[in-house]
Amino acid sequence: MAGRSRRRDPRGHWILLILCGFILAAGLLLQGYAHGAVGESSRHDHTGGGPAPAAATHGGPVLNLSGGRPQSVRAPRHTIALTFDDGPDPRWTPQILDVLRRHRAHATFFVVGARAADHPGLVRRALREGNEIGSHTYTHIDMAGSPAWRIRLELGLTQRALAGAAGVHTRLLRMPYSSLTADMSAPEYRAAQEAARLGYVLVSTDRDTDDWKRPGVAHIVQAATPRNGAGAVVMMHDAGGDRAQTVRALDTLLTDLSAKGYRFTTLSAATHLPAADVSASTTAKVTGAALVDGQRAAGRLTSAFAALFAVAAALTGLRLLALPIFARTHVRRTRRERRRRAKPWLAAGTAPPPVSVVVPAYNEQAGLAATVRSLVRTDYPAPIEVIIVDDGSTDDTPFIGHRLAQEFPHVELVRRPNGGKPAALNTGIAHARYDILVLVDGDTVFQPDTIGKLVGQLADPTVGAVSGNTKVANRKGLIGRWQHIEYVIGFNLDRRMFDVLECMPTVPGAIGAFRRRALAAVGGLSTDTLAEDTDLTMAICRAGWRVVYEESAIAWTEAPSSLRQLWRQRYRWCYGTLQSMWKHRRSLVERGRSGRFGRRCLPYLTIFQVVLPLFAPVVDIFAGYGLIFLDPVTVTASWLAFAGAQALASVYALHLDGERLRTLWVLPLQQVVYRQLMYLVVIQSLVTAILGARLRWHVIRRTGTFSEEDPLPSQANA
Amino acid sequence: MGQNRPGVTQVLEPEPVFVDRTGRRRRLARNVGIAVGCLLAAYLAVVAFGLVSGADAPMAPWPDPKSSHRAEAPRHGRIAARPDTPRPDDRPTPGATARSRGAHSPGSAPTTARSTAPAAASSAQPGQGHAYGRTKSPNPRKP
Repeated sequence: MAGRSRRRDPRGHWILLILCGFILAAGLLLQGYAHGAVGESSRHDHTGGGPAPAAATHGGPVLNLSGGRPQSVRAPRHTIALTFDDGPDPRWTPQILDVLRRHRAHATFFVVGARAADHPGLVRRALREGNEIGSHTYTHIDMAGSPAWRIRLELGLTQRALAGAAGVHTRLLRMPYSSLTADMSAPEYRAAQEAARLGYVLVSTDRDTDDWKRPGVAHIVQAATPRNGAGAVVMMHDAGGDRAQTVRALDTLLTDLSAKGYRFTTLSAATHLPAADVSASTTAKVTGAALVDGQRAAGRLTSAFAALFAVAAALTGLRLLALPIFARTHVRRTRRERRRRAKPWLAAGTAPPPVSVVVPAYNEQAGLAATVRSLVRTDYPAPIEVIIVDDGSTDDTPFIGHRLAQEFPHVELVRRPNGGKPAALNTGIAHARYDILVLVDGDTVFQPDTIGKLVGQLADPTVGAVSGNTKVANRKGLIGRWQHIEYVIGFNLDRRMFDVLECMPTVPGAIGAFRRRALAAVGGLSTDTLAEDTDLTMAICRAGWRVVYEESAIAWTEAPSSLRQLWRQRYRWCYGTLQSMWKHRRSLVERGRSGRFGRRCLPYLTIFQVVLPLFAPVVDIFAGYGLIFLDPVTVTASWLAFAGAQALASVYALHLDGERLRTLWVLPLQQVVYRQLMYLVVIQSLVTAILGARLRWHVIRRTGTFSEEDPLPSQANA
Repeated sequence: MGQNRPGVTQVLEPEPVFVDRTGRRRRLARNVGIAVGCLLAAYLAVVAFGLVSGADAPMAPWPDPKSSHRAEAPRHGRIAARPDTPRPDDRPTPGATARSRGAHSPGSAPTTARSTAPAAASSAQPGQGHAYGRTKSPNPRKP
């Protein structure tokens, strides 16, 4: 089992990640729903629906609608049942509890379930100090305007939150936006009946202080004070805004009325109902705790994500700003050096050196002939030799290679048993006669001037390697166009920046020129990683050589044409880059050129190729959350701003390469498939790295973009 | 990968970066992953159960209209006891407080065979009239 399964790509983590994503989305949904809760505001007017039955409106403020006819009770004389709605609030509720405790008074708190879940400690404290908890729905909904299922959901969630926060259930309910019993409308009565059906005792008020309008302490006290020693259910609010007036009014009220012989107690004690809060069952406590903890965790996650979101946005913005600036610098420098670049060897006082071109080929029958023909057609003034290394191909590659070697005098075929691309390249380098080596993939086509432009940079003796400019030849379909744009940006913005900053992480396998001394200094290509080109480039940089970019040395390559092949290619690249970064991690702390390279290149790659893509799925989920629960205009605007900045950068990159801008229409579509594919690749690569799994070599299936240029008979026969 | 095939020149080369030949890291990560996955799934199940099962208000006996008139005069015994004797003591019998699942129409309790109204009336509030509400529990004995 071990042998076979170890070579399979890891898959189990996707289940885990889907689960995590689902929980995250659910948590954000709950969080967004819970925090849509508002406090008291201008009343929702339902008087258009007519008044409630007289039997309900003419009774006391504590209403039982479960029987055939409404029954109600009032607070007895010299008894005040203080009620506080909309809490708990971390600022005001403790102050109100302090005042109550100082006066040895008790009250009833009609809590908003979502807030109880956010501040379970306050609920527990209120109960511990002898107060009573009632329900005020989960998110302060207008029950009269809500369907029955919503009412049931809101009341059920509140009971869950109370069970989770304090281990109790409550039988009391005050409907949000309700006031005096006499003002009850028919729609409110219907909602009250729905709640009564669920077992609730409805509580309205005798004395609505309107304290949420902040009318002044004196006004609140006056509104709360009953006449002639009557009893009352007094309505106040401990959340939903500045409640300083409420706190002060409560203190005054308790002082004044206690002197007049008033008692301040809970609703159930005042009306001789059994206590409103009863201990919840263990099941209810467990599910309640899951809800409360989930909502609090989601709350913390949301704030953390908001902060991370800002950091990610800032980094992305900085990069989009920095890339064109560096590109511009590079362009200016290139223009300044144009004359020297036109005849680099003359400027250096030497003749153009002979060049060995190494073409590793594993099952490249579709493109190999076109590649080699483009190489021998070069206008390079000095001798070149082309070494085809057949890496144990199982198709017609050795046959085609043999024909090419026979046809052209400077083409040589070397065959070896299959050993992977690095081994093939090392074999080719060993067979090469000259000191300047150009390494070319077997699916790439050069222009006649490519070798000259590429090798020209090596006239500078400090330069160890040169990267060329790879362009996508097969630009058909969305995938081809996406990659085309990506290549153009990568080579015209990223690579120019790497050149300016002297921290080139990769000379692409498709087109690169190397000095033999640089290759020898790092021991040739290694099989340590799947991205042998990145590994080699990093090693050369660390050895102290300059690695530069020559944008005019163009190679046409065949990009993967299906999502599956693209996935495989990127998986190999990403995993290989991770391997290379890990292998060269010591460069971060080293001195000299190696350290300078490491400290510039590795953090950049870590942030923009590993961390930000990893964070991208969360950005997607969070963007959905923002669209639903935050301001959709802001979310859309910031998305458009980033898409616009990206488009501008792309326009500049396309312009630098003289490409048509028409292709840009596929850019917005990148956001929906391509971007996800790219970040899933990063996740898959990281998981593979963590698990230490062994990967099989990923080979792209060649369809032979260049084969029609090749009239070789072997092709027709194959 | 090819270089690990027997007979090929690279056979003696070191393991590629990240590759763990023993498989220990893979086993460890898999076990941790399975454990975390189970925890998350269990959590989801609990929350889903909580949402589906709903939560009802515990039903309460309703004071007799007559006694509520009498209640104009405070009853010191009950009120004095309140802050010191917390809720559970006040609680009506388990049958009466049953958190319940079934859905009965309002006012059906007194006529329902399973109703615990008499129990409620006789226990929690002696002499305080009839039970308000109804039990929705299919099993009134369930606490």
